[in-house]
Amino acid sequence: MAKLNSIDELKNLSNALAGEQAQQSGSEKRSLWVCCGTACRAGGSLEVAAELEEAAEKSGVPTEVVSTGCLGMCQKGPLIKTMPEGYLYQKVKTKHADKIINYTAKAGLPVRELFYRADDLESYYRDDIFSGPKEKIADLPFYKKQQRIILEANERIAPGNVHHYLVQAGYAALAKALATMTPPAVITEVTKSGLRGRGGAGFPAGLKWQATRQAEGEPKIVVANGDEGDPGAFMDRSIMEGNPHSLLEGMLIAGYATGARYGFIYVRHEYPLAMQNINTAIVQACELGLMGTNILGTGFDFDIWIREGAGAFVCGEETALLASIEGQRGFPNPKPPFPAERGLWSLPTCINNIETLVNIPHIIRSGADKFSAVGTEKSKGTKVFALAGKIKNTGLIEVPMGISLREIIYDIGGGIKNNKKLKAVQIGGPSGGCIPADLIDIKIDFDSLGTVGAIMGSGGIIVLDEDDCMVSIAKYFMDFIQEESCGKCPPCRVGSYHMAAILTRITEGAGLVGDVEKLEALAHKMQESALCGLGKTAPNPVLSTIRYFREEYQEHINQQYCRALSCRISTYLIDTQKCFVCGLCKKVCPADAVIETSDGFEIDQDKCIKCKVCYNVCPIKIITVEPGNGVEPSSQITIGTKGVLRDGA
Amino acid sequence: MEPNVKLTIDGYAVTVPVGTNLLEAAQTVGVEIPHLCYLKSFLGIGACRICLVEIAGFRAPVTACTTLVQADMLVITDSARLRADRKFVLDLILSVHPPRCGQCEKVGVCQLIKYASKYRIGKSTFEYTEIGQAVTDPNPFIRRDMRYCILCGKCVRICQGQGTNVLAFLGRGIKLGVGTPAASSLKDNGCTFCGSCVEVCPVSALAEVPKLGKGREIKYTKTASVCMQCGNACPTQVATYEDELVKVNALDNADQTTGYLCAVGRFGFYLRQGEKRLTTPLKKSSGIWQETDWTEALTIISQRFKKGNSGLIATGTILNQEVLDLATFAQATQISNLAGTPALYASNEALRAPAAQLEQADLIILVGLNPSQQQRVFPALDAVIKSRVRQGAKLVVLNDVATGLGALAEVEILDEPVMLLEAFGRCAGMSIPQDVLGATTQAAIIAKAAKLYQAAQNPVLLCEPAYYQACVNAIGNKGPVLVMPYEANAKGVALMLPAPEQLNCRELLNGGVDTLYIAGEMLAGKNVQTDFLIVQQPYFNGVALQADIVLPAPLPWEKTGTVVDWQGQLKNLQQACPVPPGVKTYRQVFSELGQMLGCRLEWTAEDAVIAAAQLRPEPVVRELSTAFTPALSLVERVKLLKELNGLVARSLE
Ligand SMILES: Cc1cc2nc3c(=O)[nH]c(=O)nc-3n(C[C@H](O)[C@H](O)[C@H](O)COP(=O)(O)O)c2cc1C
Ligand code: SF4
Ligand code: SF4
Ligand code: SF4
Ligand code: FES
Repeated sequence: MAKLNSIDELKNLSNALAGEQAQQSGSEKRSLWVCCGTACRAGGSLEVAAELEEAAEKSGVPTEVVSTGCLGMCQKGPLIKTMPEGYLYQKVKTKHADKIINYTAKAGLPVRELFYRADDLESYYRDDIFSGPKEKIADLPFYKKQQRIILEANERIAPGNVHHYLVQAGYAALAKALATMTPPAVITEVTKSGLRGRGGAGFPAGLKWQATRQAEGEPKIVVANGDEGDPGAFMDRSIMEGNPHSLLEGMLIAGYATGARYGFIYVRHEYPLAMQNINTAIVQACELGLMGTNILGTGFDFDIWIREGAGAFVCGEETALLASIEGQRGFPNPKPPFPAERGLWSLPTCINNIETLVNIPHIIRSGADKFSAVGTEKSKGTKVFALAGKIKNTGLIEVPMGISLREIIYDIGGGIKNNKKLKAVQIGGPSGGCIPADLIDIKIDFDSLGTVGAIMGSGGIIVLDEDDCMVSIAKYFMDFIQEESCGKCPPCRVGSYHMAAILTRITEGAGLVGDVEKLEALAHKMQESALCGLGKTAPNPVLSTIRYFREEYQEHINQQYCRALSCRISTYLIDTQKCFVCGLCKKVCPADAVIETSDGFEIDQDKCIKCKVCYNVCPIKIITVEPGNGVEPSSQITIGTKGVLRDGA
Repeated sequence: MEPNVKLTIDGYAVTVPVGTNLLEAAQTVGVEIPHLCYLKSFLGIGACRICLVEIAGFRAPVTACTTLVQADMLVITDSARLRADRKFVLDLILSVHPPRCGQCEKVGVCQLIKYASKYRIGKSTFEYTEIGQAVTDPNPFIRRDMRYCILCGKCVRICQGQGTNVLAFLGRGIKLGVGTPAASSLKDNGCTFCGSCVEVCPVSALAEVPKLGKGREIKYTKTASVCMQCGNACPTQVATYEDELVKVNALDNADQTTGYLCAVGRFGFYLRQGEKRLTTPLKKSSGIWQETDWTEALTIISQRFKKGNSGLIATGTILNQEVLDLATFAQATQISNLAGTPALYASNEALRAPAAQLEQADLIILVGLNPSQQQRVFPALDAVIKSRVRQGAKLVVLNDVATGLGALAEVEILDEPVMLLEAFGRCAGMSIPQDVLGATTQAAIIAKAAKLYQAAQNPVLLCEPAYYQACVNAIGNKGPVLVMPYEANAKGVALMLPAPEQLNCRELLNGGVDTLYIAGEMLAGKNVQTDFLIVQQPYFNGVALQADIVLPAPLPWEKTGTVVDWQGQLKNLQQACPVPPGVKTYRQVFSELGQMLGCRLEWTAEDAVIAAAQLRPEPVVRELSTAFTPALSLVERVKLLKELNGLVARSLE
């Protein structure tokens, strides 16, 4: 690749490439865009791509097979998008390769059995049976309500191919900034756009840049936070894997605006593909003269380095991340001083989340006004979420700020699986909270989530149904925190340990009266005194579940009853009057607790492990679960923490 | 001087330099903010959360140890909210700290209990959970019991800060611990057993083995002293319990150089317990050692002195007052041959050079010295230089062999030092063109070093005594030249003694006199040639083995007096233990000998010592031509220091 020595040379190259592509789409040759994001790869998309190439070769049909980044609907992968027809194929296997080549690549005909159909019969009858399967991305309910400013490019770009990126107006924003804007003007534009940090706290990006620009010390540094440690989150991964150049472009612009000389991308340890794709992109950008010294002949110098994460959740916290880049143990440090004043090696450092940075090229290219036209008053643009849990369509979605949770769950997510009832939505991962079902009309933005005790976080949404126990959810996150606390400060190290112990005993039916109040007191004090964001926000899942589901906690403690039947604390009984002695329960019980008596079947309470298998299997649903675990309260064993936390001084 | 900042803490007006943290700012007006993880001279890390304070205009409390003063800040260090926060944190710490204070020897000096009682927490409100375990790592110095650890991380930071890097944080969450990987032994991790980690541990997780079972530390009597084991003369605090020495630690004193002690300084008293301590005079007759009484021993000695042609030697291991007493004795008895052992390795000019402080240096030029904690060659100097570099000072190393500190040096040049110094001296006076600085030839590297020197505000040249003159010639008058002697009171001896009237030390040792008396431990390995040798020292070893009469002497912590350390500072020793029966002080010996010789001795007063210590020549001018060749080779000199190393190594076997 020849080095581009000026902005005009970049424009010429992009134009030439666009022309080439237009010509090609006019030709007979069709292209198959195979999603090769991590999830589709796990489903075998690499093999599918190879098989397609082979089939094309064999049959002599001129076909271009392109591997793209994540297309979002991971649950239905491997996905293929065909061009120019624009069909979306789902759940493609290698066995489909010949047919795809012979129908689509050769003649532009669809392979109908690969189109999207609703999984469950109900939606199928309701929607699909009349309208037929959905042929194109735009037809799919999953994509309809999305607004994909960032993610859409993944459909058109092979991550290893910088030309694809250039055709999508890649680096045009950088060129615009360098050619026509002063660094303060770039900052003004970003401020005007209202872009807020997507890493969790929602801090205005423009302000952070301004602070870095004004801080004393040279050289300055830009850091992209790609540690993404929230369980289940993969928004940043899909960007880093699928469109690494957009990240580089965002960082270059950030570097230009803040007056930085170096950039670091901190990539989560578990993301080798992201690392590889970013690496390739950096090499390409250097060769093209888009990085290094005298970028595009403008005198702007900027270099970007990759750093592999240390494999700890806390390393996503900015001060811990910086310590980790410095080669120290990933311990957070108190703020102030903020990284913008004293960051990496004590130099002024602007640290932003990946998604924050990839929004930048859009803002610069299309203008702040266009960006801020989307969203709510104080939260502009779109947000990428990883949708998971008891929902029909899971995957990666990008929605405008201000969309309601209801739209996300029912329109995009297709509603709750298996006809169950929605109970709550967990947003924001270990630092977030649970929003109960009756509040799902809430419009999602940074501030509204705060008012209901959740946070935007980095964008995990977990949908919970009636089978999910809210105490167990709180326990799950507290266990996670307890594992992931760096241990530096006692409030988090020891506080989370005690909280987890209390939650454990509650879910084991050994909770004590007063435990809920104790949890609340512990939580508030942890928030006040912990060192870093991890410890300060770790109590949120507990506090929000107590806020909305206090009675579930009380049932566990006072009655040894878990209404979700997920904690093994209640008593399982067979209604012998109604039992028609089919014996299924006896057959499936793993503990041999179902015994046959002259009256029919009975459950031996000493043997029962409360696994719920019999309850599920009974064809006439006459096995009941009653409060109480049959153990006298006095003989209950107490695990871990006891005692009362006294308030105040 | 840094500009000052004015602020208000608890109503007090405070004025401190820019860059001071709130914890230290508060201390200047006597406000003590509770703290567990703050380590003086290190950056605050905000781990323990006890030092939270409120600042007007801030929403939440902040940690005082990590917050730097700002003009007009309004700080409150005590409020109901802060008390509640601190109580909460202490309650949590105590919930995983063994509730066995009754059995703990640290009670009274334990920082945790101090704050627990301040905030009236008798027992944690949580049920105690045992976290961590006692570490099995048998060694005669350090006992680790991680159940007590509160994870303040001070031990890790001090060990890393001084460059030994033995301890680290391990694990995370509630399983976070400090120590060595997989509970391996300290020894296998390169530990020098300096004990710095024990020194800073606020609880009883780390403890000195010698003091175990010797009662609670709070009952110890603590006395300031000085370690006399090498030229570093580290200030110490000696702790005794019922007149027995149980613990030595570094004196934490702001105007002293270092809070560091090496294993010999800290544990030497304990290791040497096995050696033969002299408590009665010995005499050799027909090659056989015999115990004798003082009367007989002193009578024999006085008779030798009466014969004339005698000599007296003060070693650098005795105190100023003792040197002066020896001088008084010499004058009264008209024994005109009086010399000090420091002259064996350093010139009088070098030893009497003006005082200087490494603490203030922003550039340290290290010439011909290779301090090393691991090799136990001036270990404290190694630690001080490393911590100075950590705090931002620059280091230049000139030596003919690669040094351990080279890795930290901005510039390290390996060649014959005298030649290097000449080249350096030429560069230091010139302005050096930029392009030379980028080059890599030796000339350019020297030029780079010279450039650093030009830029420095307070450069200090620190050299092996033999290079003193070359250093002075090289740098002119900017910044002092400090020599690092091999004996603790080398500079004191040089300042207390008049210039030798007749024979110098080397001549005295090489058969210049018939009778020779040596006060203090002589540099080992030196072969003394004289007809009749008298040695007075605490242990029966070294030169004493060559003597005809050996007299017992007190150990440093059994005496009161002063020394002049390597930086030219006067340091005090206070008697901590009684002189054991059978041992006589130098003054007692001189006094009794004087009587036998019919002389009246008039002791010099204490202020004479101070006057003598301050008696300094004018700074030496450039191009002083008298070259100095040490009587001992460098190898011999360094070997002296390593000798002690064996003591530590043997004890670990
Ligand atoms: C425990 C913890 C984990 C975090 N993990 C991440 C992360 O994985 N990715 C991220 O971008 N920000 C994470 N953050 C937020 C960062 O500290 C920081 O605020 C963010 O990177 C700033 O970028 P932004 O302003 O663009 O959001 C985390 C914060 C905490 C307290
Ligand atoms: S709050 Fe938790 S993660 Fe943060 S510093 Fe404290 S122990 Fe570490
Ligand atoms: S004794 Fe010294 S070297 Fe050994 S671990 Fe402690 S501080 Fe480190
Ligand atoms: S051993 Fe002592 S000094 Fe080290 S972390 Fe634990 S309490 Fe702190
Ligand atoms: S002394 Fe400030 S947090 Fe420990």
